[in-house]
Amino acid sequence: MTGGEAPLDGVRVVELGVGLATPLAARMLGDLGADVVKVETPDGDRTRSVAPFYRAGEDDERSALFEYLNYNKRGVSLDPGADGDTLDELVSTADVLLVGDDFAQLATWGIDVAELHAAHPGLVIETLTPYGITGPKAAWRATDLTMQAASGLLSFGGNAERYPLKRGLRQSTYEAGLTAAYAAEAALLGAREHGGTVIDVSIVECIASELVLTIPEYAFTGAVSTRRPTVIDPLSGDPLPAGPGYVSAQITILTPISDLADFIADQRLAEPQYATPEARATHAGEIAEIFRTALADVQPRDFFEGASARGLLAGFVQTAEQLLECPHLDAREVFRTMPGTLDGRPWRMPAVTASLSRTGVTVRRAAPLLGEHDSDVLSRAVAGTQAGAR
Amino acid sequence: MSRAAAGADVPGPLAGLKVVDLSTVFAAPYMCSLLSDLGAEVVKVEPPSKLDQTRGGALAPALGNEGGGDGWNWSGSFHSLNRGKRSLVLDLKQEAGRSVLRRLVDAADLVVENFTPRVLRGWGMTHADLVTTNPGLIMLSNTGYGATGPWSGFKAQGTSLESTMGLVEYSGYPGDKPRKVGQSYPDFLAAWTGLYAILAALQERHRSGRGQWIDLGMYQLGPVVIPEALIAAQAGVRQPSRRGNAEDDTLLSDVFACRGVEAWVAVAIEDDAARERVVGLVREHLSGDAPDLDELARGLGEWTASRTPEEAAETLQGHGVAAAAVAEVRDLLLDPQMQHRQFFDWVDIKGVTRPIPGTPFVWTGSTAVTSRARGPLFGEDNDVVLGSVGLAPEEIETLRRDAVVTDAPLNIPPPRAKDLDALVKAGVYREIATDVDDVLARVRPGADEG
Repeated sequence: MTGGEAPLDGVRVVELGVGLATPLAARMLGDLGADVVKVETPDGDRTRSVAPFYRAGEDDERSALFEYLNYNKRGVSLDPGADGDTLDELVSTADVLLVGDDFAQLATWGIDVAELHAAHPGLVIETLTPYGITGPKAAWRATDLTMQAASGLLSFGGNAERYPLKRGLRQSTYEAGLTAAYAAEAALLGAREHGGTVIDVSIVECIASELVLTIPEYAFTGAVSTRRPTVIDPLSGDPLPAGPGYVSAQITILTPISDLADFIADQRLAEPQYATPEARATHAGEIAEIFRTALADVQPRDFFEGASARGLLAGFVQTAEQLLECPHLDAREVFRTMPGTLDGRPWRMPAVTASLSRTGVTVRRAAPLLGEHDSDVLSRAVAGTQAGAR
Repeated sequence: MSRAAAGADVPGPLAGLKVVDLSTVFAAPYMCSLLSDLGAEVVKVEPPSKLDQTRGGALAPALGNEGGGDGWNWSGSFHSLNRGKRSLVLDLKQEAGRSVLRRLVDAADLVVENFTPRVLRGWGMTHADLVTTNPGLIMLSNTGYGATGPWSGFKAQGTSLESTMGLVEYSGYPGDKPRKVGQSYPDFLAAWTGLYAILAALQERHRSGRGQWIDLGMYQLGPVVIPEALIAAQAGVRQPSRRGNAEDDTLLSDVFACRGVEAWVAVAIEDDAARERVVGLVREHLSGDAPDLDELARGLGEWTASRTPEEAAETLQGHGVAAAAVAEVRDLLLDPQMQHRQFFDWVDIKGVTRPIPGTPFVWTGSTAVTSRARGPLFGEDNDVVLGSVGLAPEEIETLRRDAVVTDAPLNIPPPRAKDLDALVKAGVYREIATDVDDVLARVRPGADEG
């Protein structure tokens, strides 16, 4: 009994993943100590070609996004047409098989989930696809935008006077990756007593599962959420201008507007016409103007730190550049140094999500080159199968 | 009808796991309900004189928008976020209440809490204190900024965090200000990440026999989901933060107005082949033989304007183009895909089943993952839970007499009905639909089951 062993030490994960969600989920299992083998076609995961590229060595440039999603893994390359038996052998050594992000990945690798489940009753099989692998829309093409639309999220995103607006970057896939990681862990725990499982994750449904307010608003009261008008209470967390950027503040019973007026040293804010959310919505332009003038020479971070130190609910709009320099994230050692150099300098990415008191997360190895561990992994997989070992 | 949901009798992969949930609002309560879906037994401990914000108030849509009475028992968001749990109402400000909590925790595998850190310190109930009598105990503390670091003492809520986390900077119309999209996104990132950490600790406990403490600070989840921006920042790549509905890996992506009120379709043209297929489909709306992307977007908009979102999406999908109607909740309920996959779980609310959002996967095997029951009524399980930790009826009576345990909220007026018309006027809601019962009747699985 040692406390130092990683939680998933001894667990083998085989990933047939392209894109973002499946690779992230597999990597998160690798972060917990699982031996993750990423299997790619000879063309490689398409994310390998996503710019920008970091320099791993002389004449060796690799996708930075691919690195972020695929460290803590080994990699093999197989030809789905010719190497079917090898894949079968590899799968027979696995505790978890992850397949995604495309529905087409199943066809590429000739995977029939029900058949595989029957053949390997102890195996956890998890697929991550836009709509799931069953149902009339299973084969629908999808992007982050169309998945946000199909999930219901887009119907209340953006401004009432304009058009539905998506959440930025590629949130749907990262949401699905986080969900798939915990679901695989739960299935592994269940497998001890109850055997294997098929988990068919729908990325659209991952987003829809966020609508814990919007869905019951309709189903319990008939209220249909929509894009908000321009004029809402500006002290409900909406970005407000301050110095060179934006801040946000929330008024609650415990954090009254008078405290905020004191803090920004502008008693106009304490006037009675700004006392209620409805009234503030009506006077939203005036409140923005008060912030603009009262905080004209204030750095957003100083507003945030000062207001928060006084017990107010505050925020400020941070960029990626600011997050990388954030002293709080630094103190919590959230970022880890990645291999090689980006734009000539060392670079860092977030590696720690939650902090466990006795289980650290480490970046043990860089993302694999295409087929980097062919000889190592595949010969052992074959040998393991021949010996009947699992 | 029973409190249990259909299919709740099949054990989950976490059957037998005992969870004490001391948390409120969104993130941590949702985490605990998802554990219940996975088969864990969850006891929600609630204070007598303060309601969870999803039991009443702005975040609590009550059934039929009825105020008064025991309205705190009938909020749809509460039932979504607290499904499958038992409720014990316990006054932890009294030593007798904390003594009951210690008995519960001594018999538990996991405690989940989102108090400000000084509360549990003050009660001598930190993880370090609790493992002296229960060495296998796992505890998750969910806070805005985590337990260490210069900002650890700051107050936080999802909304104010979202800006600071870096999520807001990268959402918005081109050239416009940063914008929050969705409801309290940080809470859901925290719920899923918390489960990941809890299950890792359970795996580790199988080896070591020891529990551990999980310090979940929501703020640090922001960087995890904006890797593209972190990489661009370090690569010296200058690009606008806010690009509307434009996507990195498509030639053209946007929403287009369709026939009807608030009717939109999202379309993404991923490559040249898809572009050619769209050109072929909407050719009569295009000028010239080689339309550029702006002209294609204009023509496509003309084409969608005379179609419903569903017609447009299906036709485009038929031509191999990524497209989807911008769905509202009504559309999700009627969606053949979500029906086929039984995305919604249906729980009994006052004798009729209502839908709540289910887990986003279909789970096949000898275990089941599903909503086990509606959320608990306030104090519904007081006697059962107190009995389970060995308290005799006369001891329970004493706890009730001293208002350590109560069966109704103390000194809290019932929630008021919302002024829905005013909220429509203010633009918070588009309308108050009158066809909800009809829609639910059309899609409700096997009525009178369970």
